[in-house]
Amino acid sequence: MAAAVTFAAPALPSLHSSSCSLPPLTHRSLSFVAFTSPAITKLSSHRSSRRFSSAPSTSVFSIKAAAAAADKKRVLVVNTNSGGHAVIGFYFAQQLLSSGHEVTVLTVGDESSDKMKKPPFTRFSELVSAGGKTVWGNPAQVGDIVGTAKFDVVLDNNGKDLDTVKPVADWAISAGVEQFLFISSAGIYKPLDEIPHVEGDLVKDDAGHVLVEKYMAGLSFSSWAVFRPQYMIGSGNNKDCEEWFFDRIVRDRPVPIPGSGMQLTNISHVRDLSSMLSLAVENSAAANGKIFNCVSDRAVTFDGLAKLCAQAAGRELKVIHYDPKAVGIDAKKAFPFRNMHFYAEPRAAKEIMGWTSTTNLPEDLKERFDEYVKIGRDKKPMQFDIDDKILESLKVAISSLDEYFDFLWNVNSSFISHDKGSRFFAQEVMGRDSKPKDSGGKGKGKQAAASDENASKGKAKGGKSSDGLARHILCEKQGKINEAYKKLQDGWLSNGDKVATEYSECPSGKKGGDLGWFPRGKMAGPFQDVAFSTLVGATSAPFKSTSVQI
Amino acid sequence: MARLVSMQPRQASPWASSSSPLLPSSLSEFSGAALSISLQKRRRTWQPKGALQVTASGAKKILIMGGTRFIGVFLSRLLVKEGHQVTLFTRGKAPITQQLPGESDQDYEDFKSKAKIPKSKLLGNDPIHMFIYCSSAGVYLKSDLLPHFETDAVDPKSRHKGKLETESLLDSRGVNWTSIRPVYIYGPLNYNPVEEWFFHRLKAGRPIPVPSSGVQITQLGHVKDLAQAFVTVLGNSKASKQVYNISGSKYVTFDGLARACAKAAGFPEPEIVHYNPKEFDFGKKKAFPFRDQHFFASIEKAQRELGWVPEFGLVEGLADSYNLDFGRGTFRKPADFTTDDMILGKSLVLQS
Repeated sequence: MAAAVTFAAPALPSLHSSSCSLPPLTHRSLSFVAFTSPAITKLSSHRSSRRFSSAPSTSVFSIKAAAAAADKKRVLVVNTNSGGHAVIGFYFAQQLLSSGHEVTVLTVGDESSDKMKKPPFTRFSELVSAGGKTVWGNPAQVGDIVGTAKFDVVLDNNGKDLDTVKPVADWAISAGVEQFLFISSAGIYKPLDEIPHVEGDLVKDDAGHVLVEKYMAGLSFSSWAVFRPQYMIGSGNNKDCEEWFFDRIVRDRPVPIPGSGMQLTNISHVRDLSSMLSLAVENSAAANGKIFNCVSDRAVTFDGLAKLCAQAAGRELKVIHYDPKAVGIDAKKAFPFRNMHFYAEPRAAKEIMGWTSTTNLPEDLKERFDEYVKIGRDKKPMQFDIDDKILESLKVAISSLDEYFDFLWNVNSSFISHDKGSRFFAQEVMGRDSKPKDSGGKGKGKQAAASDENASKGKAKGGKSSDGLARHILCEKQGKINEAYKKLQDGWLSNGDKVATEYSECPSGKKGGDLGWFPRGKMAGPFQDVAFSTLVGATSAPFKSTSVQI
Repeated sequence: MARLVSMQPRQASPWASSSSPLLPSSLSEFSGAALSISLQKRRRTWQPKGALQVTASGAKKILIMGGTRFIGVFLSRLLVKEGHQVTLFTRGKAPITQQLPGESDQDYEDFKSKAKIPKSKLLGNDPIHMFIYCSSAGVYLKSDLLPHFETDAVDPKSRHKGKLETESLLDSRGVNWTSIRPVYIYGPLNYNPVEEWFFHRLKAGRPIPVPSSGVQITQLGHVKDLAQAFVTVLGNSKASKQVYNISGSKYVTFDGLARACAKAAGFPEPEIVHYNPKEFDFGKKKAFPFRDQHFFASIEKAQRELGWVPEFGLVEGLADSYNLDFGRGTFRKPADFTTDDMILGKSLVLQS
């Protein structure tokens, strides 16, 4: 009865403690029903209601026990052998089995293939010990594989196009299957200005999933339904989601996020998907002919997700925003989510079936992190080639001085210029002054690279778009400039002007090192290079300069 | 019989108990002018859309605090049509009734002609059956997880904390209250420059400056839908001590809203210019009418519990506002492009 317990987990993460209307329970339906005390509907005021409080002590969980014999369904799950969706079939099968239904899972391919060595397939024994059957083969030959076995419900969690699903659907009709369910994708929605994607919204007509949906609708199933999921987390999920963030966070690497970081997306726990599917099986009449967005009812921003992952891991977070085009990388390879708002709401499931979401990202991510560590992935050696490419292009300032010089020498040794023939041989530290007077300490050295579209375009306040605004410290001796640089570790804004006044041998030192606005081309060689490549708000490392014109 | 009465308040107003903090304390004299509109009409049983049935409990005596400028103008119309006796309590100097944009002269005359001077003061000895409060979704604590639901954490330091304090007060007084939290309200007669801000620029053929990336998501709700929500709550025992988010069914990005306004008003697609607000000092002026963050709330609870459904989609609603108000050349504030010029003049804008 494992799944029943899962569903009735003591900490009810549902955020909707107010009464929600439950669907009329027919004698056929099997449901996990959670009742919360009516007192919870009161408004909490002075103490701001904790967002994700555990279930109030007054709540009562009532679980309708296993289905009566008449309600028992024979379900066939045609399951993909790859990617992120395999886990849906696994959770669904588990839930059905614990409710007393009969389940067969037909996985694409061979039982002996390498793909079966990964989760969730490695957990298939759990299905078998719960009474389920697991078989392998080509879905196009489903009839041959299952033989004379009869099924009431078929879920196709495999096909992305008509070629793959049609044989299964056609066989299901001929075999007298009553209910046909299909895992489609929320990716078929046409991106619009108005958000979220809601069932009934326009979809991309030529998408493979769309053609399948249309085909299903034209067949004569007693009940058919389509489920459009997005991104999932959950044990057994084979596709990186939260892991991508954990990989960077546990290794103290900055997390590069494309664009503004405000893009919204749905990250649902896979149990939300399986509960929705199960509800459709149990309410086949209500679910007939319907499209369901198979997602949790909250969206999260990219930045927000990064924060939650860091919190789950108990570590600090460094986020860097970048423009994939400017850096010249393919955002699809660099980041696990689509670089845009991709946000759907599960309105149909709620309205039609009284479904509720139980995804609780802050809590769920903690659980995910525990597993991440348990399987040793935090210690696994990893390459971050694309990340490095992004960071290099932004010339990220690393926290310690030593690391910084190493970084410079490795990445771009022209940063340090040598000009033996110079008349005035000087060392400099450059800082950019880009913050208006009332803005806070973004200029801290460690965060120098964060979210600065301006940096790569050399734009800043005041002058023309191509001008630079800078402060500098000029010293003849290297020792002196290094000493000054050490004092600037907290970023120029904290004490830079004082350090400039104290150390700089340039007349601008009296003004805190302020050089004012200068156009490209006015300043000589190395100074110019460093000035225009130092990120806005950042402080460059010491570099050798030639005769400096001021 | 329905009456619409408006009066200037006085300190010893009979229906306000002396301990009530809800009356604006700056009020002084009772000006004595009152207008009463009677409607000889039996109250119809109101049938809402959706599955829920509201038990008709007869005509009510309704006091609207305010009600002469925007929401209340539409709300009082609906309530009077329902057969209720409506009193407007206004601090202001707006005319007590005004012809609604799009309302025929005949309809308005009918409404206005039933004005009568009441023969007696309205006495407030009856217990209050229901207190419906127009709060704000601005009370929600900013979050990375959206949309806001009614159960979400609220921000006691928000600019709207007065709304929170009022909600608590109502709750603590044992009043049968309902609180409605709208997001951004729009529609004809809007005195907050929401759609007006876009229409000014579209009319002037100017580019629309949008802060940062323009992907921030906001939500607009039409005033007529909001008024209807109030009516739906009235007399509905399910609404007792409940909070409801009331707004449009979908949300929209800042960029998307600019385009929706253009579409609604029949303008070509606008040029949108993004800028970094941190690089400018606009002084006291607001360069953009929305808070620079995601801000939207789910209306699912009201839909599910009250059977209320917003009628207006975004473009239709903006068209309604434009056709009945701003498109006719009426506006609340004249166009002020000072901040736009600061932004555009710099040409220091982020490429979108």
